[in-house]
Amino acid sequence: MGSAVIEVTPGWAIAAAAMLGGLVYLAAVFNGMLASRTVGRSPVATLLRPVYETARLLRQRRRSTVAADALLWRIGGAGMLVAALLKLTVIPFGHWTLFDFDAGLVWFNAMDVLVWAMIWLVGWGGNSAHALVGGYRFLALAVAYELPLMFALIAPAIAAESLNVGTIIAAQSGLWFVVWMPFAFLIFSVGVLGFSVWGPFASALGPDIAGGAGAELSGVDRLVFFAGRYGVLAAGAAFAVPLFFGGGSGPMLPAWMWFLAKTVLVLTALIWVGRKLPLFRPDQFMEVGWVLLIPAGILQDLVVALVVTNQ
Amino acid sequence: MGVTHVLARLAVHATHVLLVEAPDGWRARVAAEQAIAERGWRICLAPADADVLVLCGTPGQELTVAVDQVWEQLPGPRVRVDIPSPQDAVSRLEEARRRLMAVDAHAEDARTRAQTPRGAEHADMDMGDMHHGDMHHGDMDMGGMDMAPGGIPLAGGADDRDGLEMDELTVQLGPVLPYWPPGVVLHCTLNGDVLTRAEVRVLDAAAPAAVNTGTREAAARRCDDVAALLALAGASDLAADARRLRNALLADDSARNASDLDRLERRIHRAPLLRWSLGRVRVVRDPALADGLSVGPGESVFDRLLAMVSTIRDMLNDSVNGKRDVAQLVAAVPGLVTGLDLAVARLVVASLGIPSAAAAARVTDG
Repeated sequence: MGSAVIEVTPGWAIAAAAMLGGLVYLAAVFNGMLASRTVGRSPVATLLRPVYETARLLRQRRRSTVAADALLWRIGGAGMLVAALLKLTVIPFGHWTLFDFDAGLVWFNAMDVLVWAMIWLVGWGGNSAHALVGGYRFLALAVAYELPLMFALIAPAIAAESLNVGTIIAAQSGLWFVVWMPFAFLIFSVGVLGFSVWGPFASALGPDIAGGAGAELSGVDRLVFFAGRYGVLAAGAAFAVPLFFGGGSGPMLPAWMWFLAKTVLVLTALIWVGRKLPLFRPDQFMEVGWVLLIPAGILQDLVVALVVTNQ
Repeated sequence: MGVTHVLARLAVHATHVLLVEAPDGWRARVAAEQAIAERGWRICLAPADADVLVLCGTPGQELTVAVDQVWEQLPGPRVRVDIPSPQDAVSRLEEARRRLMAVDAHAEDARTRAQTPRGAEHADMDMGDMHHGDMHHGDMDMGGMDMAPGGIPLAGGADDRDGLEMDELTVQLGPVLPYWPPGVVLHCTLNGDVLTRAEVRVLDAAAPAAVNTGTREAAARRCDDVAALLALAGASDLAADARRLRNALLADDSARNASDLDRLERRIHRAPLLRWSLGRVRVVRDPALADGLSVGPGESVFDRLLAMVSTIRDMLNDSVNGKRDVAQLVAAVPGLVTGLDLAVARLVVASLGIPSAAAAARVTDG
């Protein structure tokens, strides 16, 4: 089983981080455009909005709360961005990857479990009731989306008979996995929205608890946390490309361009869908996750396994 | 200094505003929301995220104290403006913009304000920090700082609804909380995120001066309650629709009103996930409580949402149904929310439409 990717030197990590920065900027602009359309303002005005927001948060002082658990709070705040960057290491940028790991899929999954700790620490560290409730909510939602997500991640691995992301891309030379394992892709998308605390899964940062886990964050802490949230969303979208959309494969254009184009498409779709759906309360989504998505994921894995063994 | 000035100039485009509404401040708050949207600024949910604190209407003494404490929680650079009446909104926000750019004043503010967050005796009126009754630094005779880090006593334990021992937090909802009825405070005890006990109180109990709301404004107020419920449910696009309709109602744009109302109603009907999410939450579970609340037995929050939208139409057609007793509505809140988790409790309270009912009651009383 040959891997379709070439490992590059670690110095390229800086380029990967810059690409993540670009995706985060794009995601923030697109989200801002959708938001300003609903209030009847010109979407063009939002092009520079992330710059303004960044300036605002850099100018704002970092505030603390009474008896805050500062160390854990800061770890949680910065951790989202770190998790996003670590996810990116196993995602091939066209033909190149930073870390051609045999168990790249497991690595990605481990990083999205890291997000559990990060949101919880942000909720806990501020010593604030609303933030703490946000932390509880996220953990409850995480229990509901994570298991289905794991079953969804297994489907491409079964089909490629490997946990290596390059091999998974190579296995899609005939047909993209999204075509014959659509349920795995849908469940994966639900999981990405889940670990990004986005759209229907944003109740941990909900308006009813004054911003929840992020309620007490200010200044640069807030900037890094919310950039990290866009970061994990972008990394999740980017990982859908090697997993379900054939990585960088496509006619005419170079592989890296195809990879970027597909990533941007998945990312904008996730942002758009996320804004259209109301919040799921954790207890409610638990039913969907365990009664609907886990069986659907297992059936999808079974179908994939049957197809692979009968080839 | 150069960098600070450049940052200030860029930052002011993205100013975040925390709105506080006094019981008579509804019109001022709506005007402020419109002016904020005009400028491309954002309304935020918590003081930690706010650059500008805007107090809408004229606060009573208790609300003033609460707002002063919230003001202490703004990280800074911070600006505070009052918008006593709607026509002040544009000018006061312009003033806020100017004052936000005054770099030296903010450096001075940062030097002179309290450098560490204040302890329990000060923190008890805010939005999210744990509330600990009348505990003062001086009374900590049973364990000193170990039992009360930062002046906050450690949480006690109690059995939750499943019989497991959980920490018990004393939390106060309101008066400074987005989408919460102005002037209402709910003192509650939380096990995790489940409300185990609740007591309600109305701040500055003296009734505010009567406002003369025409039917159109009454409809707009009801529409604003719909927007609040939708926002709490996370249906942000629908909430924006409801706010647009509210603004059109206030602007007396009759031609648009009817069609916008139809459109909003249609879109709510066509939101299956919203129906699924809100339709399973019963507003009144105890039939004894249902009397006099104008809430039907077994009505869900989704039913209430639809009912609120259809009263807007009734109001516009001048066929308003019976007045509701606001005092009774507010007094029923603790009974309705005890045993619910915070998310559901917020939805139930919002589905009662207390703010618009309170305004209608003031008209009759005055």
